[in-house]
Amino acid sequence: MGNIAMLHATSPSPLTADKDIIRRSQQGDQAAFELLVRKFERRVFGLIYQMVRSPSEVEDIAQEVFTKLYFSLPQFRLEASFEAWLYRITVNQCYDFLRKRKREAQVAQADLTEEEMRFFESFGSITQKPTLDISKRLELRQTAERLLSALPPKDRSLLVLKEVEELSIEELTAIFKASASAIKLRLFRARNHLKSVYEKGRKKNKGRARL
Amino acid sequence: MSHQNLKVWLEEYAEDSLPPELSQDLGQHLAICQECQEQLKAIRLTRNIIRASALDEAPFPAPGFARSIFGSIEQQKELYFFWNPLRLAALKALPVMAGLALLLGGFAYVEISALNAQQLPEEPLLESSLELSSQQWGREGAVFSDSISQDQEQVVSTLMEGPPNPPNPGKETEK
Repeated sequence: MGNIAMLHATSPSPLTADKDIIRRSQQGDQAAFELLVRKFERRVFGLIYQMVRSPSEVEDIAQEVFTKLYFSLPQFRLEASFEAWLYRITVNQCYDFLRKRKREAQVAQADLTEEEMRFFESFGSITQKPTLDISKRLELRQTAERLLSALPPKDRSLLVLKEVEELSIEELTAIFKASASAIKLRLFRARNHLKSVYEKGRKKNKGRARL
Repeated sequence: MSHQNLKVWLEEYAEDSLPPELSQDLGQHLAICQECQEQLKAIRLTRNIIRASALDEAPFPAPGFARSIFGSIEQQKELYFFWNPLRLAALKALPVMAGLALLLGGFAYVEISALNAQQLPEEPLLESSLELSSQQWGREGAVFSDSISQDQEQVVSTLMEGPPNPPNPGKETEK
C-alpha cells in the first residue's frame, strides 16, 4: 500500500482534530497532549520524511515539532485549523534542518529509463499502478527523489503537501499564510521547475539512445 | 470565459474539484488551448513524480515516542518560559523604542536650533562680517597707503632732481 493510502487509512481526516483534546492540552493536561501527539505522530513523521529523506533524522525533528507545539499551543485559537498550525510548525522545522544541512546543494541529475518516463507521463496516478513490483517501485522512487532534490525546500514542501498529503489550495493558504492566487503561482513555478529538471533527464536519455 | 480567467482553475481541474459547469467550460477551452494543455500535462507529470517519491514507507514512530516528548519539554522549559517571552517582549517593544528615539531626536533638533538662534548676535551676519572686513581693510590699507606715499615721494624727488648721480665712468677710466 502506498504511503498516502496508508496514511489515510490509519490517521484521522485532516479536519477532525478533536477540539476538546486541544483545549485540555492548552490547559496543561499532559494526558490530553499525549493523545494529541499519538493522533498526529504518523502524519508528522510522514511529512518530515518526505521533506528531509533521512530516516535517522525523522524522530529528532518530530520531537522538536511536538515540543514547539506544546509551548505554542496556548497561542492557538480554537476556531483556526489545528492541522494547518501543526503543518506550519513541521514545515518550518524541516526548513531549519535543511538550512543547516544544505542538502539542496547536492543536486544529482536523474537518469531516466524509458519505463520510468512512461510511468511519470501516464495519465493516472502513479500510486494506483498495479503492475509495479517492489524493485520497480524502489527504482522509480529513487529516480523521483533525484529529480525532486533539484527543488528548493519551499517548493518541495508545497508540492509534497499538495500531492502527497493531498491538501487543498485553501488549506495551503492557511499553512503558508498566503492568498490562493499566490499559492497557485508558487505551485505553477514549482511544477515548471520540476518539469524542466525532468526534461533535462529526458533529453539525456534520448541522447544516450541515439548513441 | 477567457483564457486568463480559466487557466487559474487548472489545479482544481486536475484534482476534479471544480463545479461541473466550470469544469465543462475549462474542458472545452482545453480542447483548443495549447498553453493550458501543456500546463495540465505539467501538473500531471509533477504529481506522478512527487507521488513516486513517496512510494516508500516513512519511519514508524516508536511506541514510547509520545511519552518521550515530555523529556524534551522539561529540558526546554527554561528556554520557552524565560528567554522566549523576553525575546518576544523585546521584539514587541522595538517599534515603541524606535518611535521614542525619533521623538527624542526631533526634540533635540528643535532645542539645539533654538539654542543656536539665541547665541547669534542681533545684527545680521553679512553686515557684521562686512564691517569686520572693512576694519581689517582699514588697518592693512593704512600700511599699504604708507608704503605707496613713501614711493610717491621718491618718484617726485627723482623727477625734480633728476636721477641720482650715476657713477662717473670718465673718472674711473682716468684712473
